[in-house]
Amino acid sequence: MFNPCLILGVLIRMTDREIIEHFNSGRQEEAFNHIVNNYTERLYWHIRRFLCSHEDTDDLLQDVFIKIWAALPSFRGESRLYTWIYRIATNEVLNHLRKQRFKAVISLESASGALERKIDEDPYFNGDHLQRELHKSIQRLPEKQRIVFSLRYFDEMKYEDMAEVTGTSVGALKASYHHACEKIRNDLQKLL
Amino acid sequence: MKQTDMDIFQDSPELKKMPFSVPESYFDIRKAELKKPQAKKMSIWGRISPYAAVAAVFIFMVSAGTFFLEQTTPDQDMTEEDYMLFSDNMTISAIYEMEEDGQIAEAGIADEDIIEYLIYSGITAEEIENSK
Repeated sequence: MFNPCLILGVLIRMTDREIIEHFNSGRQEEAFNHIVNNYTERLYWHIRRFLCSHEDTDDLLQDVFIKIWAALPSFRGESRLYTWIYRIATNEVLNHLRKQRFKAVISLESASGALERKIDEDPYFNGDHLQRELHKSIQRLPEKQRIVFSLRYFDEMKYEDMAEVTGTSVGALKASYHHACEKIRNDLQKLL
Repeated sequence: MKQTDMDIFQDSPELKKMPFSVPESYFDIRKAELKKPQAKKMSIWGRISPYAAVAAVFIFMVSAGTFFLEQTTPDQDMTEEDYMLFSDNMTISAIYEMEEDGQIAEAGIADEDIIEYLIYSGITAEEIENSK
């Protein structure tokens, strides 16, 4: 059966190996530029799904690449570059969301409410009503379920890779994904 | 029930598409910026902000501790009247020997008090006189 995810995964692994070889041979700048070429768009959309705003995503994307550049010399190859990069991005997203939650407490607005409002006010939103409600429903999920749902549903990441990214067992990830799907289904069913 | 629910995701493949767009040529511009050497450096505030936060917390704790101590420690500058009030354990002679500025003078025990004590202890006046 044709599996684009599997083929993409193989291609990514090969490219990642080349990137690491570049880096280890002293061509750090070149290696980093390859990472920028390969991951900018994917990380942008990964972050955007959580932050719901182009401006916030753009700022955080730059921070993620600064972290990658700073941490690249300490990359030991124990995990794959692909999951290592996603882990950095996901941690940055979580830190950002925690700061937003703190700000929301001060402004007496729920964090998920603020994100839903951003979706409504986003000038770059060009989806239909069902897509809008899907993304609003995702913002109402608990943090962990939101990450698992995003990585699995949109990025079609394998559970084993998600386990490397999140540091959680495959069983727990499957349970989180199941719960997330149930909640989103319930929300979307009301609209149909 | 589950099969019916699954249909929402399975029957709506458009849900997987990102309903957001980006400004024109955003990714090309962003990639070019990220490759610049200066883009790899954190801003000055980004680098010092963790240290600034720790310093702010330290200053706050020291200030709060100093304020708390000032509020709870009794005033050291006692007036003569305050001394009188809190001097239950002081001898009468010591109180009388307090100087004009409110400080207690070098308050040794008066000879009369010693003699009175020795007589009270059963030592005769002759013995005291002989011991001088």
